[in-house]
Amino acid sequence: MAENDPQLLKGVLTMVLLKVLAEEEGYGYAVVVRLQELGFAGLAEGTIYPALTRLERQGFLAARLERSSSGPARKYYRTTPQGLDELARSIRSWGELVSAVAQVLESPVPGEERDMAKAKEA
Amino acid sequence: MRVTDNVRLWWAKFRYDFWLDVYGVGRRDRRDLRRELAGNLRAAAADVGMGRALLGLGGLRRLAHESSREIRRTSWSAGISAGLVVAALTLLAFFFLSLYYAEGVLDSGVGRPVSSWLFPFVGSSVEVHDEGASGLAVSMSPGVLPLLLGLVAFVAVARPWRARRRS
Repeated sequence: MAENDPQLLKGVLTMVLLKVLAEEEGYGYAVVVRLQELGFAGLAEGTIYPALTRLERQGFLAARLERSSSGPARKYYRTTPQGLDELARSIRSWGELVSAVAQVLESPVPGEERDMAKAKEA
Repeated sequence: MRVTDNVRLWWAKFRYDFWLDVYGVGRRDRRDLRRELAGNLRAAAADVGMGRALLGLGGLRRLAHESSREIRRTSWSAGISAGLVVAALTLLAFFFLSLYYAEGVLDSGVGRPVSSWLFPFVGSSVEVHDEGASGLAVSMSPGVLPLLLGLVAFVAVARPWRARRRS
């Protein structure tokens, strides 16, 4: 799958993380792997870890430490009831955005205008 | 993990901690973030190798900046240290400049006490008294510049406005 536009991804990251962690708790790297498997190919750890910290600070995620056999304890995150409310709000907002964008994209791109733009660029 | 991987992990934690400190994260939060990063890095290294695990983090400075957004606080101790270091360096610069000035006075052989201020040390004064065979007397006062620069460094590093924002 092609790499996602980082700007687009940034806008939906909170919603995606809250959803994924509402379904199943996970620690930082496991969340990265899960999202990559779901199709967010270009998603880097450096984007996810601070987002998890931020969401925990905001009260949208709860964290617990669990001992690991391979090193320090891992911090597992799970979406809180407050996070679920935020998730519901984000999903509503996302739905509205998607239908608005779909409406804009519904009409075909005028061929002539596109050709003229190409000619100008040349 | 190999020894080299452990060294790289330690170095990454060290740099991460340094930048978190710079961004005003308290000791306890830094420890928690450091441990979490180490746990994630170990898991990633077991999966894709330490090189790729570190690469995925991007810059540690940026990571620390992003991770510290909600937990930055006023760094009084770092501010005081920075202020003292800058003031001390400015004083040292003034001291060497004064010696250079005194040497010039001696070379000119003017034979009487000479006093002046030294650019850019506003409000400073240096008085050089060539006492011939009995030696040389130099009295110096650095003015307000070391204090001023120390204060600027303190404010820039401590960021006291954060304390105001919290209250």
